[in-house]
Amino acid sequence: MKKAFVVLLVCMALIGGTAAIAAAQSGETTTTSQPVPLQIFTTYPSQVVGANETASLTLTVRTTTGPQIVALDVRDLPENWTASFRGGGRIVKSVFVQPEQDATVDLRLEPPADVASGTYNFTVVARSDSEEAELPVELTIQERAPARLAFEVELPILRARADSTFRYNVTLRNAGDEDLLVDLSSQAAPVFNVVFKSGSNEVVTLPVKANSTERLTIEVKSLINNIRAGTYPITIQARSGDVAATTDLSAEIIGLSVINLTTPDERLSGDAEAGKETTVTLVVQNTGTAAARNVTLSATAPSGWTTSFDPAELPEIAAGEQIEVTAHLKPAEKALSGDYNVTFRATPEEGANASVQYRVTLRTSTMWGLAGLALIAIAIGAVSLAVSRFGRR
Amino acid sequence: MAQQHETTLSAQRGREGSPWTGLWAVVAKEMADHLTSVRMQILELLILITAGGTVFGALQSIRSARGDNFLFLKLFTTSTDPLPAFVGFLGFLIPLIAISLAFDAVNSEFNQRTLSRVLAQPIYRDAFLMGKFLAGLFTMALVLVAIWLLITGLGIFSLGIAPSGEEVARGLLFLLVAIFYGGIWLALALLFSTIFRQPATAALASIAVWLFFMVFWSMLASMLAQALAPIRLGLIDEVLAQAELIQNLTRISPNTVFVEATMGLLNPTTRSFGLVLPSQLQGALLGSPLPLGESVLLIWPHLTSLIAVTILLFTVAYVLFQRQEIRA
Repeated sequence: MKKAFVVLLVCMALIGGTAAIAAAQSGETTTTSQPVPLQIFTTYPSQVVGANETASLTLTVRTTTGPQIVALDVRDLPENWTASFRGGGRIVKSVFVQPEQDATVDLRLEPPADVASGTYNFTVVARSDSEEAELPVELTIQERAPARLAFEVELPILRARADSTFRYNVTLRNAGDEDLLVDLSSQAAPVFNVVFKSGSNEVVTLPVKANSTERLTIEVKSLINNIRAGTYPITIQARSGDVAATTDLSAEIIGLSVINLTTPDERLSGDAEAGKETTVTLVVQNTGTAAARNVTLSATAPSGWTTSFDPAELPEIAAGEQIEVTAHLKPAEKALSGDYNVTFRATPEEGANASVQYRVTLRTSTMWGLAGLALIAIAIGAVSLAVSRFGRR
Repeated sequence: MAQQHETTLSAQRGREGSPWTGLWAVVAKEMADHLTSVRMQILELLILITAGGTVFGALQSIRSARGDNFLFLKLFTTSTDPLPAFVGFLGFLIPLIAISLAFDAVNSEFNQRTLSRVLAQPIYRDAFLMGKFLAGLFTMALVLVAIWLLITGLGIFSLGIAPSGEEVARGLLFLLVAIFYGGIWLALALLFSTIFRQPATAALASIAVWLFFMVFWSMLASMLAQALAPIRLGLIDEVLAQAELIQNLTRISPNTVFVEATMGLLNPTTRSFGLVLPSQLQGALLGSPLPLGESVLLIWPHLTSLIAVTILLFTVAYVLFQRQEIRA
């Protein structure tokens, strides 16, 4: 109990002490500052501005003596510079100031168009009837970085099949100090469709902030699928006024052989006679973009049927070419008449094979028909023999 | 005796006129008799009733399954549950008509003593027998064509489509097969009517042969096949040989021949009769119809053998008739 009381006492003493010190300090500041009759000042008297930029300073005028009109002027103004004071939305020449009530006015300094970089000193002079105050102002004109655009491509050479989309990730850098509106364009073979994408949107014009980058995706797709294999250059350009950047991309298209099997008149049915060889002319086409190599021909026919090809293997079919192949088909001796499916197949060394179903209408020999006719002829012969032998009794 | 025979032979060679003189008169008279006879009318009524019943049933089932080819052929071959297909009925109605048309062709003339009178006319025996036979064949053809037209007409009326050319061709070929199937039984009945003097005997003999082929021959064929090509080791070849033998033996029966020929013509998807090895069907497009020519080729042996057997049976009847003593 006693202890707690002591703590409380100490606390109270501390609080009282700090309050006293604070009071003493505030009294000291008021007393030590000497009143200046006329003051003109600004928070940031030394500024750095870019070329072609107008510097603006907020000036505060203060007096302690009494209400008075203060005329404002700029001294040591370099040639071709213009300085103007603004207040209340107008150009002013003087301000009215009273004690305890500061007047503010804006100073606008416009450098000439061809200003050289460097440090310029001005003096703002505030003059009332009795007093005069000066404010030195320092403006540093900084040289501006020239506008510059650059592309950065992650993977400038892509390799893919003709039917796929080539996607290039490109970063467009604006290395200048100026925001730019960039026009994007491309140069590529007419079969290519080149699209600039920012995010998921297609763009033609893109704003790029000063000293920043924009990520772009360039999608290149061939409009036709059987474009020849090879390397296709694509030049992309970003232009804003006189500033431009170009970069070269290249799309390497891998050729693909696509084998197609058909007949010269595209009729996929035919006749055959049991036990007799028939020939079927087939056409092996390569509709792809690369040569097909070692195309072997085969057939799936009903059992007992024999098939052979002339030639049985094609060493090479150039892209877009076609070669005629003769298939020799011999149905089984005892095959039943009717329709059968025979599948012809062309298998290239690499790539998918092509097959075609050929419908064979099997006919049987008409030899038995003749035998039947002979049977009837024998019967009729027997009748006529009987008639001539036994007629007229 | 032999010498006498020789001289008559040489006399025959120099006979006057054509043996066909008066043939068409006989045919016309016989047909008139047939078409007005009560016997024939009863049979025609029977055919009409079966045709009406089976085709009506077939129409019901065809209408519920449209969109098929060869609808008009299906009219003949579709069976609705209690009734067999119309061609099935024809299988035993045709022999019945044929036998009833010819079993008393010659012997009733004998018994009524009209044969001498007929032959007293300037008509050869050739023309007489041929006329009898052709009249029977034509009567049967008339009945069958009428039935065929009736069914086809009914089909057009109730299905609302016309038969295609191939359907008509197949139908006509089927008629040809049916007529010569009847021709065999007609020639057989004619043969018996020349052999037996009693019409009842001739009729019974014809029906006995018919029943033998209709009912017993298939059993006998399998028994014979088991005896001739026994399966000793159960090899596939043995089974095949036996099955083939059974098929060939059953084909001696005109019934089997008619059924197979009908199947081949009216069911265009038929590729073969009897045993088909799975290897023969590999790659085959089942259910695709055979071209008409192929179907005809398939049933060609059937058709020609029906025609040939008809002609041969007639020849036998002719020879027997020519050698008979008829001056009774």
